[in-house]
This record gives sequence, structure tokens and C-alpha cells, in this order.
Amino acid sequence: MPLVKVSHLSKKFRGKTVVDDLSFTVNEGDVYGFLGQNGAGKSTTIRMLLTLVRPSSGEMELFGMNLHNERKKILQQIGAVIEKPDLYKYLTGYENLSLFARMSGMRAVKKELIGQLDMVGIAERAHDKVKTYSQGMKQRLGIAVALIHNPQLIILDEPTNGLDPQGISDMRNLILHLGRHLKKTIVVSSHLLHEIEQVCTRMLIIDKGKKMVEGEVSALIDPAKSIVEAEVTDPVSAEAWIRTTRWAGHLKQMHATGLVFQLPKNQIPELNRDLVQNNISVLSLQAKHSLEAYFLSLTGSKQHVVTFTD
Amino acid sequence: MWSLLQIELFKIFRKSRTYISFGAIAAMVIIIQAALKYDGKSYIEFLVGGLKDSLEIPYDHILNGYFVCFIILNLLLIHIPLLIALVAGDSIAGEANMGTLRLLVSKPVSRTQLMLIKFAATVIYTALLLIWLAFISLALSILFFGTNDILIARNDSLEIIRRSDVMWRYLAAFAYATVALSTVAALAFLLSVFAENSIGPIVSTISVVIVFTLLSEMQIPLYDRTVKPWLFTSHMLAWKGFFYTKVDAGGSAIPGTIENLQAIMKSFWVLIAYITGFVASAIFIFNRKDILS
Repeated sequence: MPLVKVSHLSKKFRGKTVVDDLSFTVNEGDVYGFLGQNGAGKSTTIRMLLTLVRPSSGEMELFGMNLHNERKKILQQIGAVIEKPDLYKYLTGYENLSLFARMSGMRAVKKELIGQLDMVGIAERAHDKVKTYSQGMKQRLGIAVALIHNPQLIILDEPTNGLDPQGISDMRNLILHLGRHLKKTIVVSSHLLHEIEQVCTRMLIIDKGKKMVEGEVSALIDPAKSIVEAEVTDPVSAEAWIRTTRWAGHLKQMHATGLVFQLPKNQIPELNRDLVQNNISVLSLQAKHSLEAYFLSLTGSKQHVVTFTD
Repeated sequence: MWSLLQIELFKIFRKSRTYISFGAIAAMVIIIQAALKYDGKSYIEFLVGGLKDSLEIPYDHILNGYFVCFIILNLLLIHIPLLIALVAGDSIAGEANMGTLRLLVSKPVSRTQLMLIKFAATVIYTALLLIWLAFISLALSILFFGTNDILIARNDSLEIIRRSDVMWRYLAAFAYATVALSTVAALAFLLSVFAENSIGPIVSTISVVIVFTLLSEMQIPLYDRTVKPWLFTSHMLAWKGFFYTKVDAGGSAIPGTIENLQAIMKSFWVLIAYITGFVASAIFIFNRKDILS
């Protein structure tokens, strides 16, 4: 059963279309990735799902109810972290959680609140003011706020923004835990492809407000479409040589420090050997995620070759 | 609703900014009381003007707690709107600035309900500020100066209200002042909807109050008929009407009377109309606003 059904959703800001006839469905139990570049329309779509932004046209159904007509009932079943979780800095973590629990219609029981803070690992700092928290702790508190009323649907907009590597790893594990063990339906937006690849079961790629593709992550990953970036000392000579070989068909781009190929991962050693045997000094060879390659082929933007790295 | 109101009040009273107003009022009142305690006679001489040459002025009787409170209210009630704007202007814009507005609006509470609760909390803050003002200006003045009949100076006359006839007038005046200052709160609240930083609505509110007050005080006959009756600032000072009594044939104040209750009521309803207009506009705009902060 679709938990979220979005039909022909559009949003214009001062005549500029930021979400363009977008339709998608999120099924119960999905960990649904919402992928796109910065400015692709992900956050605007999420804000429309949370009634923060009014759509210019289109319909949104959640839990089988129309969002416009049954806003309160629907929002009672949603927990969300929208971009960075800004909370009341002059209040303690405990007070913030208590306040938002009550706003969600919950009776704020101390044991339950402390238990929630414990689950996200900040119970020891529960009575410290939020202004003394690190970005990672604020993010954890934001998650606690989103989960305190035990929502069925959790919406996380760029949840790893501003987190250190440990925080990113913790967030990934939390999403996996919520999805696999607590059977929550999760919508997570990100511009980081490997994040989506690692945690999501289904995904939507959005570009310039339009849907590019929607489907099972496993079905979208094509091992034959790895992007390989070769850093070489003399890219011009290397390109000239490549053009005369069987690798010419795989060469996608040349830039100041190297060459970009599209080829199956198992051919990387062979490419490396050929380059070296023809006196081309290879400084590094880096294979991108297969999903990343797919994303690049869909959006066709050269900047991603540089932007999305491991 | 009550739970949401508690939350709003909790947020207001956990902010240190909230207490600036209480501290500022206490400081100003105590400074005025101290000045009158040590040199109240000069002030009364200034007040009675040339009458001191023809009459024997009983300074000790005049300089009592009720009189001092009246002076304080005259001096302060013009400036308190600035303190009200500090909190009311922050109510929506402050949330937008902190980034908490999106979290609030995505909770299962209607935007209209959220706005009404926030405004109610602002009105409660305003009322508490006035209760505080009443306490330190009236209670402390009574404590330091005692009680006696109160001398009210009007354009070209002096009226004396018996001490037994004073307290209810103060209660009515403070209640009216709460409505008057709620009008300022409603204006700041409306302006707060447009901003994502509380400085803008606070400064704008103060600017509007200053300009309107200047227009209200200007002695220009054309404005008296055309502009002044429509300015909320013209009606904010109607609290003084509670201290203007009807007089008998001998020119003495008649206890328990108000000279022009109708004028006070008219001002009251004008202020209520302003409050309703400001708050309704704020709700209308907020309900259609995209939350992008």
C-alpha cells in the first residue's frame, strides 16, 4: 500500500518552476531515497509534504488521506528533520524534547523522554543547554524530536549535512535500524549518492524539479556503468594515445589532471596495465559507485565528476 | 490549547531578553521614586505653576503614593510600547531566525491555532509587565510615600480625588493600559510575520508608534478631525480618563464618577478593532506563507 502518493506536484516561486509535475509513491516499509543535486527541488518537495510550502498544483495523499483536508491527522504520524535541526538553543535538550513531544499531542513522561535521549546517545547531556551541543549532538536531538511520538513515517532532509565522518556513520546506522528493525517508512533526501545507495531500498532521482527515474535501488545499479577517473601526469598525450586504442569508446572526458572513462569495474586492471606499458604515468585510478555513474548519465552534468567523490 | 499556551509562555519566560523589560521598568520607576522622594516639592511647584503664589500648597499631602504612581504612569506608559515590541516582534520572526518555525509548523497544530496561541502568550506577557509596573509603581510608592488624596492637574485646573476613590481608578487604568499595549503587541506581531529576523519588526513597530504618537500630539486643527481619530496612539492615552471626575456645582470631584466614560469606551473599541485587524491580517498572511527559513 502506498503510504505517500504524490501526483503531478508543481511549485513555482515568483514564476520560476522549482518542482515540475512530480509524481512518486512511497510504499509502507520503504527506505525511500530522494536524490538530486543542490537546488534540484528535493527540499521544496519535502516541505510541501510537511505543509510548510503550498504547492502551486498537484495532489498529495499520505496514509490514504488528502494532505490538504486531513493535515492534522497526517502530521501526527510523521516525524521530520528538515535540513539542520534547529532547536531552542536557550533551552536544554530535555526541555526541547518535552516541548515538541507535547506539540505532537503526546504526554511528556520523563522516563520516556530520557529513554529517547538515551537511544540517540545524548542522555548524559540532557539537562545542558542546546547552545553547548556540537552539531552532531544537535542532529541526534533533532532525530529524538522526530521520533518521540513514534511516527509511522520519518522524513529526513539531508540528515548528514554538517556531520563529521563518525556522525555520518551513526546516522546511516540509525536509518538502517529504523527501517530494518523498527519497520518505519523513511523518506531520506540527499545529494550524496553513496548515502542513498547504502541505506535505501527505493529511490527517486530528481533534476531541475523533474523526476528522472524512480525504482528499486538494486535494479538501478548497473555494474557495467562504473565511472573510472585516471589521474595522469600528461593528460594531453594520454588522450592522444587513448584515441588510437580500443579504450577510445570508453573515454568520456578529459580534464586538467586526468581522464574519465566509463567501463566495467573488472576492466580497470587492464586499462591500468595498458596506460603504464605505453609510458603514461598513472598517479591514481578511482572507480566511482555504480549508482553515481547512473546518476551522472541521467543528469549529464560534468560538474558531478568532480563533485561526487568517495 | 492550554498545553500549547503553556509551551509558548515557557519559551517566552526562559529567554533572558524577556526580563530586560521587567528590569528596565523597575530601574525607571525606582529612579523616579528616588527623585520625587528627595525633591518632590520642586516637581509639584512646576506642576501647580503660578497657583503657588496665591495658594498655600500642602506639599506633604500632595506628594503621596497615589500621586507618585500617577506621575510614573504619565511618564512611562508612552515608553513601554518599546519594551512590548521586544517580545511581540520576536514571536514569529525570532522562530524563523532560529530555524524552529519549520519544526513548529510541521507539527499537528493548525497555523491559525499556532498564531492565536502565540498572540495570547504575548498578551499575557504584556499583562504581566503591567502587573509588574502596577506593583512597583503603586505598591512601592504607597510604601515609600503613604496614601492621601490625589491631585490631578488638567489643562487649566486642579482636581482632587479622595484617597478612598482612587484604587478602583488605578485598576481600571491598568486594565485599559493592557488593552492599549496589546495593540502595540498586535502590530509587532503582524510585522513579525513578514520578517525572518526580529530586529526588523521591533524597529518597525517602534517607528510606527513614534510617528503615530507625534501625529497624535501635534496641535494641528486639520489633523484633529481627519487623522488623529484614526490613530491607535490617540486612543492609547485614554486611561487618563479614569482620573477625570464629574464635578459638583461647587467644583468638587464627585466620588465614583468618570467625566466621560463614553469617550473611554469609544477609544477602547477603536483599540479592539485595531487588535482584531492586526491579528486577523497576521493569521491571513501566515496561513498563505511558504516557510522557507
